[in-house]
Amino acid sequence: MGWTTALYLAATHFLYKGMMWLSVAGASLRTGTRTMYLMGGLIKRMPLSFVSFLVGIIALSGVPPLTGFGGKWLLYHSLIAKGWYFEAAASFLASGIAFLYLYRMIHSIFLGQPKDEHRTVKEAPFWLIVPQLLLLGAVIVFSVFPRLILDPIMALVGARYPAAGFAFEGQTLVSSLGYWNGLLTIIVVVVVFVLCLVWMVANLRKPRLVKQFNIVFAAERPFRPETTHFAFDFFAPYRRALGFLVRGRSERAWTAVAGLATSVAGAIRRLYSGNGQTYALHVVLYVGILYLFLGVR
Amino acid sequence: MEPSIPLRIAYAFVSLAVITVYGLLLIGSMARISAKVQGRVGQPVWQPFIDIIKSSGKRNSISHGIMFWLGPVFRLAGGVGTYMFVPAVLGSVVFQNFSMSGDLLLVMYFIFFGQLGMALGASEGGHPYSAIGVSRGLAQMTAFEVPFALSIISIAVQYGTLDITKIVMAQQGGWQHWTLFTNPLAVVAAMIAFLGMSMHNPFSVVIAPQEIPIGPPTEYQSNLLGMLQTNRAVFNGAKLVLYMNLFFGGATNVPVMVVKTFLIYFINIFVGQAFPRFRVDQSIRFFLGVPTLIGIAAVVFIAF
Repeated sequence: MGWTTALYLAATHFLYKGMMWLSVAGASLRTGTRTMYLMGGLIKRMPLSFVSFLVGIIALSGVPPLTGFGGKWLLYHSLIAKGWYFEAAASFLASGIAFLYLYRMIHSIFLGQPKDEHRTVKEAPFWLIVPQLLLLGAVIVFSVFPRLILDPIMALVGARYPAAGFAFEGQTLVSSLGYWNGLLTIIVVVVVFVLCLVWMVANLRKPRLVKQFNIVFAAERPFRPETTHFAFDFFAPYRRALGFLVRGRSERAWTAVAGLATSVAGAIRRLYSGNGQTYALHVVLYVGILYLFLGVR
Repeated sequence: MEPSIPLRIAYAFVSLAVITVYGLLLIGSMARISAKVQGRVGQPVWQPFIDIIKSSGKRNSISHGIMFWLGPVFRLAGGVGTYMFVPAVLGSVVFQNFSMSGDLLLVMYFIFFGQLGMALGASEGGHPYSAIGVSRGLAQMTAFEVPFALSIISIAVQYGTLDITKIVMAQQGGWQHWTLFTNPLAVVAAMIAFLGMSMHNPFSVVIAPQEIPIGPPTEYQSNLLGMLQTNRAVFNGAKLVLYMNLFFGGATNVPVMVVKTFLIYFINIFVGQAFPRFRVDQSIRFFLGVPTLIGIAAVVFIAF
């Protein structure tokens, strides 16, 4: 079970992580910065990169219709079947935290308020878009037919470990704990989504596409993207609640060492002050001390 | 007997209609109860229906782009989809929904679907309050998922399965077989997580319902707001049915489901009217403290 999970996770992570890296590389190339909060609102300028990043984060966070959920499903079933309950809980927390950073990333880079200097940014280069679209296609195909990727893996693992724990019944993947039908899941989700979309579109009544700062903002009118794009110190509540855990101990130790070195150096600098008069005083004092010692003898 | 596919789809619609109407009435009656507690008259029980009809009838005046529109679509699809994956009433063909697509893990992860889409849609609006609300909401969510996950693991170990139908089957035959009585620690942890999940007081600062409009719906109006209001009913219904199935013995008919889910939801009001609000960092610390310990105790108690 563990090997199946690991190989599946590796394969799918290759697909969507690759896609996201390429997408972010395009954004970083076009904006000329790697600092996230300096970007923003790039969806309008780079829609294709946005789409691949969007599919990437849906897959990576393990939200069901896409292929990432398969990995989560296999992972929890393996962990619980093995009896590693707290590891399962920890990986659940980890996947929640993954949500946080992914949202922060897509919000800071692609959503929110576009900056003035990025108003003329072009879509990422063609040769960055093509592999993203290929990977996107692969993610979609493997999401609809998880057997395409799981059958070879399970054959490979099953040759080594015959009692592998996972088996397919039709399109349904079955373990000792539960079941998951990827095809049916995606059909249900797509149908529900399309119905909601139809309802939304049917109810639209000629909305006006408004300008960037046309937002309801408590009687103020924001006019700078820098003051309106919320991207810096994004998860402040988390930092306030648990920040003490990441404030590094080693960092504090080295700060103390640096402080000690600075004060020692400061004391020495009183002697080597670079001032001619101080040096003259040194010479006079040296002669005086020498005279005292010689005089004693 | 397995129903044919068209019949099954028709049943899904019936089931969805029932849960929507029930969810809206539930929200209305709970608002009315809160009003009585606070010494007000309160809104009529059917006010949520009026709100939705009114919102849907209005003209949209503003749009910020495609993802902005897709936000409520994602949200509603998330709510409806979550409900579709939960078997609502044990042994009923009509309320079986599409629970054969996956087990409890599918439901737990599908809960994120709507939140993710909504967060993205609200982000495109470019309103800083939307992003602040989302960041608070997500931060609080990761915290309350910990006791919830521990409690789920505990009952998965207890019943040896993650199949919701089997978990409900195992609880049949009298109230003393409910998880509430066979594994009380898991239920306590999950119920505390439920308070956070439904974002009533003391965990309501995420949506800040009383004062400034903070949170994802800041920029949404007219029919988009109508969709969000509808989703609230369906999504609440889905979560309540899930809780009822996992912890309170499930239901074998619709009246039992109504009574049980009403009482589960009532716990929110009961706690919410008695306690003031936490800040988000306080609620993160709270959820990672005692509730997590209770969850760990539940797992240890069952597994070892």
